[in-house]
Amino acid sequence: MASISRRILFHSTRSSHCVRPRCPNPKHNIQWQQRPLSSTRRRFADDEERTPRSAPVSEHPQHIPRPANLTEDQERRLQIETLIRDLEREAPDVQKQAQARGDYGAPWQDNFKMTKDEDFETISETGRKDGFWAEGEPTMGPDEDFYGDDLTSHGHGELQQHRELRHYARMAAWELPLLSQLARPFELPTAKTPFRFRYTSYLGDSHPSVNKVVVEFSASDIPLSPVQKSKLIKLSGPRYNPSTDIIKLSCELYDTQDQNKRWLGDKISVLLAEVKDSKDTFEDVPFDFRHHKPKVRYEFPKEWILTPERKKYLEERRERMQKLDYEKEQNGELVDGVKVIEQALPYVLPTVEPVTVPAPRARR
Amino acid sequence: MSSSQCLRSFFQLSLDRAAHQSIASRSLLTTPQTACFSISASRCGPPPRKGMIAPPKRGERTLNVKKGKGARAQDTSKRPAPGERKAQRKRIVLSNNNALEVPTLQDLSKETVLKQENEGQVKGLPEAVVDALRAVEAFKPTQGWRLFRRPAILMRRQTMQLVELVKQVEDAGKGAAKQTLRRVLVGERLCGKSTLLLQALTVGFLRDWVVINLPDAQDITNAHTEYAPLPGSQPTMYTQDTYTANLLSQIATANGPVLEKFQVTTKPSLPVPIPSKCNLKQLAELAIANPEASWPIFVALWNELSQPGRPPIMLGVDNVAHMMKDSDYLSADIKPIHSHDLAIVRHFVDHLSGKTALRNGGIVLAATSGSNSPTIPGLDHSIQVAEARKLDPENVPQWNPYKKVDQRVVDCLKDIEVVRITGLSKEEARTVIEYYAASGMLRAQVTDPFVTEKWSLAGMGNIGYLERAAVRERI
Repeated sequence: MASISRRILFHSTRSSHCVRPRCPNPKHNIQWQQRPLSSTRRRFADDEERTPRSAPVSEHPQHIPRPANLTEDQERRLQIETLIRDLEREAPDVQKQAQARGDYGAPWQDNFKMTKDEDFETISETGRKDGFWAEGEPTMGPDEDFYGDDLTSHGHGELQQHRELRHYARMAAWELPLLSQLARPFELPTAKTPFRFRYTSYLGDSHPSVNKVVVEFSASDIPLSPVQKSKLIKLSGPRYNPSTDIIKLSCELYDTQDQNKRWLGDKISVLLAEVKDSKDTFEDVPFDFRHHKPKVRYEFPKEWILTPERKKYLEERRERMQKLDYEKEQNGELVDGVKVIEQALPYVLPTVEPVTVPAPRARR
Repeated sequence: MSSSQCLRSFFQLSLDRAAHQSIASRSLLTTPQTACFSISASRCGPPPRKGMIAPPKRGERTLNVKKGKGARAQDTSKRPAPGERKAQRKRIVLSNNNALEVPTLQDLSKETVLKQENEGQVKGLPEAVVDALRAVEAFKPTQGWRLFRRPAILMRRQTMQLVELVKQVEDAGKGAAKQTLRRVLVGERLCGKSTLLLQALTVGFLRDWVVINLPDAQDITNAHTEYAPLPGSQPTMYTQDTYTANLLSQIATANGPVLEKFQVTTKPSLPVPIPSKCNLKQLAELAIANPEASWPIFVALWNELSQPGRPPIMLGVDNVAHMMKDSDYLSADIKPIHSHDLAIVRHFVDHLSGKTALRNGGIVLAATSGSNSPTIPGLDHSIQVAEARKLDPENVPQWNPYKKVDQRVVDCLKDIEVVRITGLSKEEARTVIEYYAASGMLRAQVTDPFVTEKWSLAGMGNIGYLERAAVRERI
C-alpha cells in the first residue's frame, strides 16, 4: 500500500479530471487532508543523517530531467511521451527486468526529486505512538519498555494508593500539628457583623455547588422597628424560619463565589432599603408561615414521674383505701354484686328430688 | 309509527306529490301526517300475548309441581312493615324488669335538685320528668338506660356546674336584670355530653322552666323534612313546617303543666283562628292540626314566653356541629342553603351567639357529638379559643388567615363559654360502680382495686367506657 504522501502525488498527477470521483464531496475531511501541502519544511530528528541519504536519489538512473519553457504543443508532446513511457514500463516483461535489476518504484515527474516509496516515509510516522492497542504489533517493532517482568496496572494502582496513604500519614504526623499555630480564638459576632456566610469546599474536587454561597441572619439582629421587622419577615417569605427567627438566602447564579456573595450582599441591601421604606408597611398582610412545620417534641409528663414522694403517697393511699374497704366489709356496707343478687332472688327451700320408681305392671 | 316508515314519509314529503298521482291512492301520504318525528312512546303497542302473565307476588302461594331443587318452598314469612326496622333501631327502653330496684336510690325533686350535697351521688328521675324527657327526645338509644330498673343520673362535677348556672339565673331573676347564660358542652367521645345535656334539661323541668330541646341538629339540616322560603325575610330564611309542628307538639307535651298556667296576653296575628281564653299549651297545640302555620305559631309562643312574668327558658341542642355548616337543602338557584338560614336554626343560633337575649333569663346549651358529627374547623377553633381565653385572656390562638373558615360559625361562637367534660374522678367512679352492683348488673365486690382497674380501663374514668368495662362487656 502506498503511503499517504505518495497518494497525494498520484492524485495530483495521474488522476483524470474528467473521471468523477465515486464519492463526491466527502462529508468529512480526513485529518491528513486538511493541510495536504504545507509550505513549512519538515523537521526531522536526524536532519544531518538524512541529507546524504537523499543524495543518491537525485542521481537515480531513471531520472528524467524536465525541460523548461515549453510551448503548448511541446508540453502536450512531452506528456504523451511520458505516458507512452509509463505504459511501456507497466508491461509485465519490463517490470520483471526492473525487478531483476533491483529497481523499486516507478520513476516519475522528477521535479520532486523523490522517486521511491522510502523517500515518502516520514520519521514522524515511524515514531508515532499508536497507543496501547498498537503495542506489540509486528509492524510497530518490539516494545522497548516492557520486558515481561512488570506489575499489572492493578498492582501499580495498589502501590499508588499505598504511596498516597503514606503521604497523608506523613502529613498528619508532621504538618497537621503546625496548623494549631494558625488557630484563632472564637469571637462572638458583634452587632456590626450580623451576617453569617457559608461557603462550601470540596477539597479541590470539581462539584456543581462549589460556587454556592449561603447567608443567614436573624431578623432581630438588624436594628429595625417592630413594624419594619415584621415587614422584613413578610418580604422574606419562605426564607424565614419562625422557630429560629433566621432568614436564609443563597445564591449560585454565577460561576464564582465572589460574584455570588456580591449578589447576596446587593439583595440584602435592597431588602433592607425596602423594609425601611415606610410607604407600605404591609401591616394588612398576615404572616404566612405555611412553609414551616414546627417540630413537635413530646415529653413525658412531670406528674407521671414516679418520684419517691409519689411512690410513698401512692403506697399510703392504697393502705388507707384497703383499710376503709376492710372497715366497710366488717360493717356490711361494702357493695357486693354477687351477694345483692343472691339476696334479691326468692329463697327456695332445698327440696328432695323425687325418685322415679317404675310402676308395677298391671296384671290382667 | 316505525322509524323506517317515518323516514320514508319524510323523503316523500320533499318530492313533488303531483308526479306520483298514480300511486297516491296507495301511498301512505294520502292522509296528512303530523309529528313524523316523535319521541313519545307509541300508545298502540301489540296486545299482550296469551301466555304472558306476571309472575306471582312474593309470599303468594302458587301450585308448584316441580321436583328436585326448584321445588323448594318459598319463604312465606311476613316481612317487617315499612318503618318497623327503624322503630326497632330508635326504640328507647327506659327500664329493665330483670334489674334490681336499688333501695338507696332517691329521686330528685324541685327542692332538692339545687342542693350542693347531691354532688357525687346517683339520683333517680321522677316519673313526670322521665315522661317529659322522653317527649323532648332527650334519651338516646345508645345510652344505657335499658340496663337498669329505672332512669337515674350521677350528679357529677360538671352537672353541679350546670346546677350552679341554674341557681345563678334564678337568683338574677329576682332582681331586675335577667341573665342569659350560654354554654357549649365539649369532651371526648362517650364522655357523657348528651347525658349532661339531659341532666341540665332535668334540672330545667324540675325547676318549672320552659324546656325546648332540639334532639339532634342533624335532623334539621339533612333535608329529610319539607322546607319553604319564609315570605318577607331578608336574606331569605327557610321554614320547616313539619319539623316545627313536631317541635311545638313536643314542647306542649313536655312543658304542659307550666304552659297551662299562662294565658295568651298578646294578640298574635296567626293564619289560624285562636280560641278565646287560650293558654300557651293550647297555642302550641294549634300547630299539630295546622302544620302550615307552625312557624307563626312558634313565633307567637316565643313572644308569649318573652313577656314579663313568664318562667326562664332552657334551650338545648345536641350534635351542634351539624348546625355549623351548609345544610343539605338547596335554594331556588340550586345553591346549598347555609344551616343558619333555616328559621329554627337561626332562632337557636341567635340565642347561642348572644345576639338575642332571653327576656326572662335562661340557659342556652349546645352539646357537641363525638360519634356522628362533621368536622367543622371553625367550631373546633372557637372551642379552643374559648378554653384558652378561660386560662389566659391575653394568649388565645389565632385562626390561620391562609385557611378558609366559615365566618358565620366563628361569629356565632365568638364569645361562647365552654364546659369541658372530663373523666370521672375515682370517687364518682366508685359511686357509679356501686350503683351498677346494687342494680344486680355487676357480679363483683366493689373494692378500691376493682374500681381503679375499671377506671383505668375506661381511659381515666370516661363514663361511656366505664359502663362498657363494668356492665356491658362483662365476662
